[in-house]
Amino acid sequence: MRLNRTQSGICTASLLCLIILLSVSLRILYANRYLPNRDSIHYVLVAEQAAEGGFWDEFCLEYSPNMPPLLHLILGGIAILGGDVFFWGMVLMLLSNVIFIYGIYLCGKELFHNYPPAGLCAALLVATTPEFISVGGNIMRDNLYHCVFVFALYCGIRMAESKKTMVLDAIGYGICCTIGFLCRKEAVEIPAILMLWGIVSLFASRANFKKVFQSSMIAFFACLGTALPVFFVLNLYYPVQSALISALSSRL
Amino acid sequence: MFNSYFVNTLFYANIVVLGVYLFFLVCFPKKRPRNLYFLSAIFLTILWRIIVGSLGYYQSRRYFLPATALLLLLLSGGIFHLCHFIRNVLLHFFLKRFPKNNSCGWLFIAAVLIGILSINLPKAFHKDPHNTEKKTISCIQKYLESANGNRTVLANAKIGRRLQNRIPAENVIIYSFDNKNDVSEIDIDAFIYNLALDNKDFILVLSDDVRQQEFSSKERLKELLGVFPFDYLTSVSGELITYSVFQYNKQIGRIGATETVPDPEAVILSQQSPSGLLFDLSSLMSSDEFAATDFTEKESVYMGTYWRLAPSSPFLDGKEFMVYICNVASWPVREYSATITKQENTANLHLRLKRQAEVKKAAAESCYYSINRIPKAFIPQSGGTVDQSNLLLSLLNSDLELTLRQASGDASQNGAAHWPGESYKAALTGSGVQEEWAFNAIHPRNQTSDQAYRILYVGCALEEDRIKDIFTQSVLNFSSESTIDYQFYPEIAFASLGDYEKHLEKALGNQTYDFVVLNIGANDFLWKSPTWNDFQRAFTPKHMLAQLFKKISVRYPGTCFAAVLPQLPAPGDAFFHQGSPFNWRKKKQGHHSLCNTLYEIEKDVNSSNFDVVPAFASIEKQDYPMTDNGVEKQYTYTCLLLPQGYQKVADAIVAWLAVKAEKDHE
Repeated sequence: MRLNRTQSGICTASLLCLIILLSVSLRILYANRYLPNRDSIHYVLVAEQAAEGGFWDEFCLEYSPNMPPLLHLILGGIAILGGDVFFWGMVLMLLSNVIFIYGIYLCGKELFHNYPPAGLCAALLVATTPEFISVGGNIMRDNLYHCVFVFALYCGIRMAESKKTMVLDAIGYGICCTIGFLCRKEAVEIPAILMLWGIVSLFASRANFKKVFQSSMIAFFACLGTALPVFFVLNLYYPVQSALISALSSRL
Repeated sequence: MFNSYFVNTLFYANIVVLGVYLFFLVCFPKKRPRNLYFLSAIFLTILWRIIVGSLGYYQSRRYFLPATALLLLLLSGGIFHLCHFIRNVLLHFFLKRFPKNNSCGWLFIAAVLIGILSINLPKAFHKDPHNTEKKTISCIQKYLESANGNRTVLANAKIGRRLQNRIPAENVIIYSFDNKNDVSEIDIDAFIYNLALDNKDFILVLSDDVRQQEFSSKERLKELLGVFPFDYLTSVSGELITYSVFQYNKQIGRIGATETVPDPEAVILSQQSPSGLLFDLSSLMSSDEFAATDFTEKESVYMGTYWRLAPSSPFLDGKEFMVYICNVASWPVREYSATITKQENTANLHLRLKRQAEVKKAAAESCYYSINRIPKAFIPQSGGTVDQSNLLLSLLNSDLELTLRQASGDASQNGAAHWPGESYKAALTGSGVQEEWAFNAIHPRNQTSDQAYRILYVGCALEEDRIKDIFTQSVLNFSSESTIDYQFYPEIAFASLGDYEKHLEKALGNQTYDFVVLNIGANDFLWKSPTWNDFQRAFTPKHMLAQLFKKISVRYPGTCFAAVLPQLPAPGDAFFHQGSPFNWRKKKQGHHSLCNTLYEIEKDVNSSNFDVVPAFASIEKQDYPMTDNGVEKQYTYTCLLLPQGYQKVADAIVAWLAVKAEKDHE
């Protein structure tokens, strides 16, 4: 029996929903069964200080000042609003996992045109890999970073696949660079991959140099446009310079 | 690290599929993903993780997850290629026909996926003793609650995290052998000793396998700490593991507490001033304390002990706010809830004491320095001095700062930007520790020597240009015939101790030196490295360092070794956040821990050819590049000294050298 396009779409969407449901269930099961990671506890403790007014001090004391602060800011915001930091933190983690799985599906679909179910297959593999379940069942910055990383990957794959410059994808890529760096310092790899792609394209036989150059520049300016305001706002409270210096010095 | 992540059942299952797929890519290049970006991403994410992981920076499998996601993406394509390949082969050879529909292919794909899931899911939820079961937690919870006077100490036992979260003012530390990152390969007694240095009050929960095999040498702990420091409380049995719960004896090493209790309630009448109402808070605090509030208002100004409030302030209408009295180190020591009631021309400030830190007076005998070993300071005869506070800061335990940290209001914003060393020194002087504290000042008898010595200086490359000439000149002034070799290691080498050992062994080689100076810390590079600034992680390298120093002192009996204490963390660290010295505190704790370890090593080695030399003890504020008003921006994160500072360091080392040379001569 051959499925028409609509039926195939419904079937894929249903399977994807099932995979996402499976992924969320596994992570909830994991969180309910095991002790949370020590990192989770520290994040919650620091965030709870936000309600008492000593957030930044506690943050800097608990961690080195080189820690990217996005997750702490979100959890601190939850504490200020009076929510249960652990519960809503877990909700946030599950949400970012859902987005991560969806992003993996999109990447797989984009990457293997000839095998449409490859995206579903990739999503299933990621949803059930033990280490991803363990991280997904804890409050960790990794979850946010995976989510951003996979969308940067998706934008990058689309930029590379297309014959013309994909402006929206390039902008998305730039924004992912900024958000990624606010999640984990390892996010320096996102722009590094773009640079490597640019260099590799120089030697590729069928590369469109104009497209590569334009995409890179758009991504660069999108990154700059989002990073600068964040940098100046955060700098009022947080030693962003040291985070940058530390990230660069430890990577080089 | 990279290997340890992938060497498991899942890896082998996946690698078979991936291997076949890679074989495919080579045989049928048209099938490979042609997306250059994706290939670049796979290459880069895996490559740099392998490099950085092999240098020892990454200690968690989580860092490899983005690379894993990319591999799984590749694998998903591989599964399809593989299944179609197998299906076509089977159909071609056995049924002698090519397939007309995909049903067989789908069956293969489903089979492969089910195979992978059947490995993945049990692995995610297999019985791992590291993940303590709820029943055990519940038992420990019950015990802890009964030990705390039936108070609820776990807010949410179902989740279990509260076990580590809600124990009032104590830490609970749970260890089992499967928690390999923490204790499996290290000396549990030494580990406990180290914890006792860093955490004064804690409950230790050890699994029985740890307790029976390692935690049995009470005598050894007695030797280390002077007394067996734990009260055995109870055993808690879970389904898999039996835990033993120990309470660290709080009296051990505790600094004698003296409390000054102010009036629980106070009313301060305002004074008139041209620009508002003036409150004199001097009755609330001593001369080295200052006041701060939990709000910032442009019109409110602090002037010494006076607090001026603008007439338009909303707080004049009875709104409640907090007043913190902070000590010199900017820690709030008392917290008042305050309201202002306004009268015609005056106002009353009503203060009600809410919380008070337990202010402790440090006593000399309670300071952990070198395990009852009085440190030696080598002082040059030419008139150099040792600042006692510098030594004291290195070796004193962190009780003083920890006990003052009871409330963490936003006080630091209003505090004066002290140079943290000065603040601590002031706190120590005020507490009377400095007067009681002692060290052995050793002066060389001779300023010069006719002997020719072979000297090796091992130090951080960062300081090469700064100290090399100064040290050479100092040595030649002492003994003009001496020769000095230098071995400078990269800043990062000490972070991964293995490299440091390699550099040291390469430098020593088969050479015969009379004196070897080991300068292990270029200050901030030491504390910035993740290996050293985390107490728990730092334990293993400290253990390795002890082994290294023991080894070389035995291997080279004719050589005198000097391990130079690392200097205090850079003062500029205090200034990143409006004068808050938090970061400096954190690094100082690590510094204290390492200094004590070095003295432990000195005691363990117990050989005349190994000394700890506190060469940085004479460094003062003016030896750092800064202005009178504080640290200049560009030097905020520097750990480097002015030439005069390095001269003091060199003089102290040469003083040690002269003392050892005299003994050898005798």
